[in-house]
Amino acid sequence: MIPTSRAMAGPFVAKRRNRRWMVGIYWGMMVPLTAFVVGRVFARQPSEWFMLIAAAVMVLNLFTLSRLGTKPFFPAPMLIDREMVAFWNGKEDLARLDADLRLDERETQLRDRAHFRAYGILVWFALGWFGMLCVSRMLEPAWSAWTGPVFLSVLIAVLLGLPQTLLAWNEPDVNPTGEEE
Amino acid sequence: MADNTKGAPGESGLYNRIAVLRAERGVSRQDLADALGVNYQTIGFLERGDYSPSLKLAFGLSEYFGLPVEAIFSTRPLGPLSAQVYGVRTENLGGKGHA
Repeated sequence: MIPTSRAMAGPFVAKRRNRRWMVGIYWGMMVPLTAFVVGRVFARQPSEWFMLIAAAVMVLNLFTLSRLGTKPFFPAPMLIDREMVAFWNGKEDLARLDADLRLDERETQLRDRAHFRAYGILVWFALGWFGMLCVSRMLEPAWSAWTGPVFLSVLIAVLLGLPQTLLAWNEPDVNPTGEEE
Repeated sequence: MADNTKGAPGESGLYNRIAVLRAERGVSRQDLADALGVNYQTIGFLERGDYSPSLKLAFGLSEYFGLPVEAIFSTRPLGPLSAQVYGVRTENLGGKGHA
């Protein structure tokens, strides 16, 4: 499940410890950004900066962590990227990269399980939020005006990164060369 | 080498001879993975008994090694293949190296 075909990134992501650092850094960025976005929504001051940061977060998610069905921490196989691999490492490495991007039966199973677990967590999260919404409506009706946007922001942030986070965090160390461990 | 012929069967609950067969034939994990159309990491998981293959993959392995599936996978610990073929239990030979 862990992509290791790249000359530089491969050996790095092969180590679970490094992947856990990456997960930590990712969520370390995501949580303050989400808090900032939520804060802006709460304060009802949508600005260009808010839109810019939200767009950056979405792009970061879509192209690095969250292409559904692909491996964690593996950028999208953009044409320029494939060309660069072919240029620097030769056609053989390009074939290896393509093979590395395909999920086999074990990896598909692993991915599905990670998604299942992530959505299981989200169900509890949504239920908790619903409970909070009901309570807030009873206590202070004005709260319900901002709980919707807040919920959506947090849900999107978590939804996009959680399955890949689970995979990156749990997969054991792999040998990037493919030889014996 | 991840020998999963004896001892604990791994998460799959299956014993297998993949590592032994691969070493015997001088095939790398990458070569075997390429032949079967899977990731080389999956071969490692299979060898350690941490993954139960699909029927398709099990038959692919059987075809690759030219052996029946039951010679590669078992729910019980596997003895040496030579002992199975010749019907001789190696532990009864007293380590003298002859039949």
